[in-house]
Amino acid sequence: MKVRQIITILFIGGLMFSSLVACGKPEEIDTQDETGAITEEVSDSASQTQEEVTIGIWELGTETDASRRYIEEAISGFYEETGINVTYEFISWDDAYNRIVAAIASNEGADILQMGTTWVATMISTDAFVDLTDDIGTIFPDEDAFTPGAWATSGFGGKVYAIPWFSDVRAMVYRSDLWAEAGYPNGPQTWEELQTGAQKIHELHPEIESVIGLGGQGFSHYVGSFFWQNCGDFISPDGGTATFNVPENVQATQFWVDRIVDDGTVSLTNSEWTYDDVIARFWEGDVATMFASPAFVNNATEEQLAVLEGKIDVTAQPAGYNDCQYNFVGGSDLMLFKFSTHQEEAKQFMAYLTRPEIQVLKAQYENDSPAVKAAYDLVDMTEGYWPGFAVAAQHGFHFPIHPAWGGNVESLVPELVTDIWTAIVSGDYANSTVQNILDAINADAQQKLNDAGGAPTNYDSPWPVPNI
Amino acid sequence: MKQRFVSRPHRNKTLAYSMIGPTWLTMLVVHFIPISIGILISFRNLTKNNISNIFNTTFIGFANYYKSLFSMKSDFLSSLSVTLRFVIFTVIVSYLLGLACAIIGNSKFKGQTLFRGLMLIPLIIPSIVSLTCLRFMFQQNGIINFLLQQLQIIKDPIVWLVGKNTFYVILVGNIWIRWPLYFSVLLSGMQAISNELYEAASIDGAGFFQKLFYITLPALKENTFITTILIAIWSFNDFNVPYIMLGGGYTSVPDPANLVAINIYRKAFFSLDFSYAAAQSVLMSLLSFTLILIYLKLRKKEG
Repeated sequence: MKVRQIITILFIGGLMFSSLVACGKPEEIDTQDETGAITEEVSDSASQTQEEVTIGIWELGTETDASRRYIEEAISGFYEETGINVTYEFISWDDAYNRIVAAIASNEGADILQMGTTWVATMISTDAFVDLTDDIGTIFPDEDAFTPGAWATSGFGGKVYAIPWFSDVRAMVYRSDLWAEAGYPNGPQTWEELQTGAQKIHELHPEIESVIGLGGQGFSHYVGSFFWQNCGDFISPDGGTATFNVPENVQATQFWVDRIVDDGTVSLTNSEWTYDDVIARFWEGDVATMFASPAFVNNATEEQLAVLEGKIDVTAQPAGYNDCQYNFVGGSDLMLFKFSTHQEEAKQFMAYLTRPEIQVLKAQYENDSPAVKAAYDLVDMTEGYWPGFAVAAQHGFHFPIHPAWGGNVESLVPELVTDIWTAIVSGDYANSTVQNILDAINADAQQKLNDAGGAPTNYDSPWPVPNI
Repeated sequence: MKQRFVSRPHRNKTLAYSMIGPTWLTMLVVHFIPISIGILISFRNLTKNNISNIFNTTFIGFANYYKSLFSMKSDFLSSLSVTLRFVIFTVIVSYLLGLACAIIGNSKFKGQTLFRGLMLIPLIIPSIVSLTCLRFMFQQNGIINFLLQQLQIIKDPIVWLVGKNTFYVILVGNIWIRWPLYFSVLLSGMQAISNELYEAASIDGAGFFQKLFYITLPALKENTFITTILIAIWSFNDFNVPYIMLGGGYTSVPDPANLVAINIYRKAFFSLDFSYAAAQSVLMSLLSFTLILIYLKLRKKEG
């Protein structure tokens, strides 16, 4: 009887102890959390001496050899210069929102966070991030050092909360051989040229599945590009009114829809394609024109690179009917959590990552477009496709940096694309389809803006003057 | 020496409670406390703007529930309608498929063991693998359209992954991963039925269908009931099938395939309207409990 009790107590005690040990904070371990991200050398803060400071950065996206090599090289260089340790952790994009929200709720996480540019304004409104306005021109480069599209993502209302890190410039990547055959050796510069050139290629090369690739799945950034190329936008300048269905935007949307329903230069199979599918088919020779970032080369095999050697060119996306010429610029910025206990050190690392040579390092490893203008003047960025992306970066435009945008109004963009493609493939498409869909989407967008409190204060204020 | 006498039933009870104690503690931490917080959140206005201060948010009563159930364009009601159809069709088709294969698997023929093994393949392969493969198969230039065109059932490829056909796509995906459970449970149930019953029925002149309806199906009632409950609950709560087959992340799952779980996920983690999502979760749970209670009551009445 007594033995039985002892065994019971030991058994329960063992279970409790093992569960407590599993929850305990390790001093130094290599762990893999539920997202599959590897946490490197998580240090117990109690072990830090006054001379030794460790800060953490959360990177969003899939951890690859290239991304790991880049960040380790950058961290190593920063440590040599400053003696400040930096740990990193990769978080998948699918899990990023959850992790960020959890960090905000718990005040626990890395010091620095990579933030998708479309989420910046939403995250600013959580009041969990440091206002960096006064550091512009001192710790951080001033506004003019960054490309226009990238700088536009740093905040709103005259306040800076995010430092541009890299850009996801969506330039027009096209088969120069096919477009030259169609009479446009430098690619189409206007919508009229895009339409007539694509039709010509479609006639000459019916084997090409889709002359223009516009994926119908996933987040379709081209919706914004076409809006801006026709001088339209999603939200009014004061941030209070949704403008999805203004005439310029209806005309812009009708333009690319006509390429599907009238010309056939955008094939119906695009309805199932994600952005990555479009790129994959471009490399297979099934797509002649797409709107992609420099990372498009990452998807190619050696054989495909060899086959299409000298047949690909990159330039800014064409101008619309009203002579505006813009292309989507996304990417990521760096934001600093308020709960960070090493804010000054974290700012140093953020500034380090914006140095032109460090920007070029990221471009070399991961093919991410630099957000800093001076990076494009460095030797490594004057070769290959980079000059074309540099041109596109100068025409960069961005989704509204509005608190109600990220995750909220923004979700209406893929919904708009889904509705249009659904109408087309279901056989329900009519002349009024585009207008009707945009009207419905605009009503939803206006409701979301109203629910979020309407126009934010100082939304259309000019950017802060550099603090020199 | 003083001896302390404790009765055997009392000792056994103490031991039992001690053994299940850690489980209860874990369930408290992992289930009951989060559920309670979720219910609490559903009555408050928790959004991205006040996420760091959950318990100081404004109390809004049943506003989120009202919005879910009575607003003109309630996304909850439309997703619920899709989900109920999804569950009903999954259960019916999975049951019929499982029953048919169990009857075949229960017969003696050459290759019976191989047949039984093959029928369990969907259960063995991880669902993410199956569903991803199915997604590729359903593409416009995928194998399904190819076969249908080769058999001259269709002339032009069908667009499965966009529009109204997406409901059938997720239905096929869900049936694929669920039906083997019916197969294995019904097969094991059939093997427990005494052969003498079938022999006696044969002597009396009973045919195949009479034996099926008067011997096999009544004997499998309990097995069928348990399995149906499980598959109905899993299908009702399903998130993986539309998420994997129609795109995750920012892709907008089309309305015909917008199950309740997907809708709640998007409300919580893309619109960052946690309270509204919590209210929908509570409604979804209440509905599940209600359906189970009704079914149990009907079964009890029958018994």
